[in-house]
Amino acid sequence: MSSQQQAKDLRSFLAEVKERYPEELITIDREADLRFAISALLVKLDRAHKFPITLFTHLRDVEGKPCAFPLLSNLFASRRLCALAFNSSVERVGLDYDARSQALKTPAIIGRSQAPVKQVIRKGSEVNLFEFPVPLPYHMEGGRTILGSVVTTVDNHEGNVYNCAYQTLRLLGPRKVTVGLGEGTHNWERYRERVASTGEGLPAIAWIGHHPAACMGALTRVPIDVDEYSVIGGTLGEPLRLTPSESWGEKFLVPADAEIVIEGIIPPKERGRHGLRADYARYYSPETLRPVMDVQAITYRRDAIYHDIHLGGRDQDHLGGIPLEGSLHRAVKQTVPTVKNVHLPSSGCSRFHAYVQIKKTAAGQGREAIIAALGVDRRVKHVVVVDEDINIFDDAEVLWAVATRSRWDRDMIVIPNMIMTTRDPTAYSGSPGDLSYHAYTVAKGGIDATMPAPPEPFEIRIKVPDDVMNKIQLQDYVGSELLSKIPLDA
Amino acid sequence: MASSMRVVCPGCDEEFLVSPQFEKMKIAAKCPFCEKEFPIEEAKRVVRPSPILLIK
Repeated sequence: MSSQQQAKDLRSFLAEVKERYPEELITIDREADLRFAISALLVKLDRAHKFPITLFTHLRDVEGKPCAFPLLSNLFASRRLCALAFNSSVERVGLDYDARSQALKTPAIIGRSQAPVKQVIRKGSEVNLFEFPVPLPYHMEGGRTILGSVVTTVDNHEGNVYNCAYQTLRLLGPRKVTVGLGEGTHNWERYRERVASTGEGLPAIAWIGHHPAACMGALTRVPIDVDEYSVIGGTLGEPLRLTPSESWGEKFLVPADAEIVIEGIIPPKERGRHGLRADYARYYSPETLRPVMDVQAITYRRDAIYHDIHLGGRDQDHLGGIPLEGSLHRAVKQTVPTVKNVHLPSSGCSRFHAYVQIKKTAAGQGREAIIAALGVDRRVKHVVVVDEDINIFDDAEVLWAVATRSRWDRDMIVIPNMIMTTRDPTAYSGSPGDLSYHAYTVAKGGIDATMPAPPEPFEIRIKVPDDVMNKIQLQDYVGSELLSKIPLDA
Repeated sequence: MASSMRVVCPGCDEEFLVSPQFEKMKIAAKCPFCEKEFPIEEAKRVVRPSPILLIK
């Protein structure tokens, strides 16, 4: 990036969307109630199979006062726009994300005066998180939760190695939140180690709103000793710009081009109610006790955009699923070099089902691919392996392959008692309520829905000759106007 | 996670989920609808998960 170029951030991405796909960025000026109305609108858009980035400009804050911050949601809901963020295609975005995440870029450090996120600085009693438009999304939600927050911690003993993860912040007070630190995550390990070794609290920040390639970079699966700011530079395609924090200066750098940064301390023992909440599996999770964060400072842009995630929709699906597709592809490729692509469809919340497309060259590759894919992430539960002629972005076509190319007495693998996330309602534990990392298990498996490897014969799929398909255009025969009026069927 | 308990709030009669961890640690349930906090034994109804889980 030359000094003349604008750094990539949320605004540069929205400008690109506005220029290339203006119909996929909508602004809602009419007042929308943070209690359920935002979700109602987004759920209705989902049901209409429309996934525009949606900016709500007329809102009231948590305390019911006119809100200074617009709310942006559905940033990741369109796969086409996710592809745009990575200069990729709908089919390849998971793979391109993965390639970028392996090409680390050392961050660039800039002064506070150049950092957009420092345009407004509030410290101590000036901090009031209730001023942000934090929605109440679903009917049983136990409180207001900041969802678009990338919680970041740093290990200063190891040369400033930062860990980043999307972890929710439940509002407890104007300067107090619980942090959804999941046991086993790197941030949790940092916290556990810090408390064990020093007895002191852990400094942490949460940043909200950035270029989607930076946001997704925060979800890259890397060892705890890999600096995730450098990984985010890789996914972003340019060094992530950082600036000193208000609370710890250069010892804890924060993303300079974020919309909002929250700085605080996670004290050693205190726990708070991280209330009933909706999750990506489209169910509620019960209340848990989580570490709290005492917020010391917030900084934000003068006209900051509050980025929210649409829970239980394609927005949340893609945010978690697209990064995982690349990891699965890389893992399967080690045993099946002819793997073509991987898709985690919304029908499995982009975590539980994996469709793996291979060019089959030898018997057994379907089963090898299942085993490899199941080992990548504990949330992957069912793997369907298909041939390269199957469009893995079309559930119906994958199910057609299952229908016509699998025999479950021979082609299905079931492995009982594998570790599973508690988000899966069918996961079970010997001691219900024990939320520890390895407590829950479930049966996982896969279906090899591939044809026999050549030269073994198999039925031949019907098709219209390619040259004719390419030549015939519907609008030439039906007419564009009539074509647009024919309703979509169920 | 199907091992959550379903409890009915004594304040507003709404049903919601509570983790068995809360019962074990004697932490009060908090109703997301009326925000009433109450010991789980005071719930109007408690449905605990089967120990084996998910009998279908």
